[in-house]
Amino acid sequence: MDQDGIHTPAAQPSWNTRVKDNRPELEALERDAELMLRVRDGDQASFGLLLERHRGPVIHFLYRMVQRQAVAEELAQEVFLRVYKSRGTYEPSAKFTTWLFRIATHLGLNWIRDGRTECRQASLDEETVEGATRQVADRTRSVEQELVHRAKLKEVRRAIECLPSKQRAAVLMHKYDEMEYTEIANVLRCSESAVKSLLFRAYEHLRSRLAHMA
Amino acid sequence: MRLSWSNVVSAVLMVCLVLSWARVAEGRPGPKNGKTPIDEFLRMSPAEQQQALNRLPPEKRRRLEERLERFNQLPRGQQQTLRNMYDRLNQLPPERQQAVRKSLNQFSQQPPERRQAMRQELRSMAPLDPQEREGRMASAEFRERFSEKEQRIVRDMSGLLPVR
Amino acid sequence: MGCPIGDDGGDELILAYGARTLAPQQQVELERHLESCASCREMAEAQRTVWSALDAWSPATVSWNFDERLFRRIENEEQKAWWRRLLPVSWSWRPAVPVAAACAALIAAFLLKSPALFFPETSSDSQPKLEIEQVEHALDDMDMLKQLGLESAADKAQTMGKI
Repeated sequence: MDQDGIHTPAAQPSWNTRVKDNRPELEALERDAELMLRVRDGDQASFGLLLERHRGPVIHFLYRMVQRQAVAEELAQEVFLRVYKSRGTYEPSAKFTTWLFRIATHLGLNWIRDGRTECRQASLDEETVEGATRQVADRTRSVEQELVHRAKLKEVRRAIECLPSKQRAAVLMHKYDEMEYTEIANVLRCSESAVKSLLFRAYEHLRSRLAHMA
Repeated sequence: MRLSWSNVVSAVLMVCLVLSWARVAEGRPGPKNGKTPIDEFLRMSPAEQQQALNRLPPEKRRRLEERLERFNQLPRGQQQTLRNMYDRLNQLPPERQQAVRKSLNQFSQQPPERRQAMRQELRSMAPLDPQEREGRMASAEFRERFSEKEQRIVRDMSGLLPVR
Repeated sequence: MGCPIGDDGGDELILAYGARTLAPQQQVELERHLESCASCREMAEAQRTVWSALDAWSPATVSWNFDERLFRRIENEEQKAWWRRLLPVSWSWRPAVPVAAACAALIAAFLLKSPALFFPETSSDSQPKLEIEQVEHALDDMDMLKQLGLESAADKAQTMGKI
């Protein structure tokens, strides 16, 4: 209803569109391709710039995939090494980030496949020791709040770890890298409907495990 | 795990190693390739099967064909379980095989409720490892539940259970 | 979802709602729907909880020498002999040689013990023919073993009435 109390029938809702301002992203995409073409032509400094821009997201994605910081960094190094080694044949046919995450996902999935045990408690305990030295506790929280926060975090990590690996990759890209279905589909080399199916199942699982945290 | 040629070569050679050990460690040759005479018969061509069956008198042949049909109709899982137990039986030294077959005969002659009790005991022992099974059969409870004859039958049958 | 929007991309809508990426107009429409649809409301609340919970998971800081290590690896790769670069995988003789020697010795010992496995006699006359009596005895054994009743519960259900 408008301010005069007149009810205006709503336009037919479009259920399937997400409205975002894509302009800064498009500029960034073009920049990535431009930088990579310069790397192809021998400009190492451009590789440094790409590394600077994408190091964090790749490592963080891999960290959430494998839940081990050291392994994530090792895999991330492999990702950038492959990017560098492929510079000679680079063509900007796909988005740079799609290519990057495709390599990262492939390495992450391989690592999980080769060393996976379902819902390992041990890996979470290891990481608690490893992570404690890396993650700075939030000093605004009391000790009790910090303990509650860590317990919550453990549950979240466990819930993610229990997802099948492809669902895990899809959720992480959707949630933390804010990728659209199309891009996730390009990374995973599957259809958009397959991505939706992966995400819906993954979130359903996460809701069942984490909804009590409200 | 990154695959390298050396990993592949090592893996193949380790497999050869394991297979060699397995073969050397075998006490005696068991059924060929884990197949029973029943399986061998069923794999023969119809002509060869007929040739083999022709050696039997008609009534015996008919009964044998019925039994083969019944075995073939069993679920795959049950067939495999039976094959595995058959393999284990035939792996035993001849004198042990004779003793176990004797116990199997004696088992079939026990009253139904006693057969059931022994079956239940064997089922509960199936998931245990050999040491645990020995412990169970040495326990006072086991000795109280079963007569000496039944204890011997269960002990002999336990040798046919899968090794955990 | 059992409601009007369930069949029309409702899951997708709820995910977007949980992620707070819906356009304002869509959000208003969805929230109006949620007021009357308990199942969607429950799902939307749960999805928002999940989203917030996932927000709490911030990754650790990257090692200070990540770039340095990467560049060192790149340098090592570049300095590899040209012929090693031609091979798609790295090759090392070291682990394979002692294992190969040990296996060769074992296989030789095995061959001496059981040559028949590697050199089977091909003559059909030397293969023992399957005697029908063997089949009978095997069936006798199977019948006795069957009475032990050690098959799985599923198998048992299927065999009721087949014997």
